[in-house]
Amino acid sequence: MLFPTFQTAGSGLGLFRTWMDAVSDNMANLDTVRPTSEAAFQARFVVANAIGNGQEAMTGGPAGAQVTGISFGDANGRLMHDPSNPLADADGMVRFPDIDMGEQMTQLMIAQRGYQANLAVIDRAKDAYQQALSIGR
Amino acid sequence: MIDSTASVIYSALNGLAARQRVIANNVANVETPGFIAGRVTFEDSLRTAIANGDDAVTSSVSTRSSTDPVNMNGNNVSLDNEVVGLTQTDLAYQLLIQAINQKFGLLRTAIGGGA
Repeated sequence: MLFPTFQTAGSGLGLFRTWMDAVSDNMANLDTVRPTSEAAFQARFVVANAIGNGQEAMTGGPAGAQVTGISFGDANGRLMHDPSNPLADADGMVRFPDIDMGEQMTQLMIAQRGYQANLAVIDRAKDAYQQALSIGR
Repeated sequence: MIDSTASVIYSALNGLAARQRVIANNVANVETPGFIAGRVTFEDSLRTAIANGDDAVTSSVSTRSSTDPVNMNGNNVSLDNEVVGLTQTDLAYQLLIQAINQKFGLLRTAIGGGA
């Protein structure tokens, strides 16, 4: 690989971007109401794994982080009493997703900072590679 | 390599490039559960090679796992440490590039016979 650091930091960008996507999906569905006969909207959780064994990163082999799957939150959600809702059952209950906005905001900040950190690495790597290209000029 | 100076600079550049790659890997995995940060060492090996009068190119670059305490999800990457390491690595890299360019400049002068 010609510029392996870009590849590694790029994989980090992809991971944190996916995380932000998952958070925005969760936030958008914060008030998604379902009838009690159906499952609630389930929060999306990104499952991350390291690429390679850590030794390979040194030699420019496979390195970085990747999304290996999505886990889903509680399908039971929270039952709420809202008889005026057209989706309410005979007891006047509807199902709300079990998503905490504060927790989602925290996750969004972590993902955003992670994205910025990887971007900073790309910036530095670019400088170093440019310097290397100037050898012998 | 042309001589021992160039050989030492070349080996150090190799080690620093490896360190930069490993730091990039650490930052990419700053939130990966169970990830243990990697640390690149080459200075001691290089120093020993120079002291023994060996060819510096034969000095080895190796990665070991960081022994920093892990947090709740088994990860021990500390972003501030990584950024400090990245800055140090970058500046040292630039310094060595300047050194090797100076070396080549001297050679060029010698080849040109001062013309």
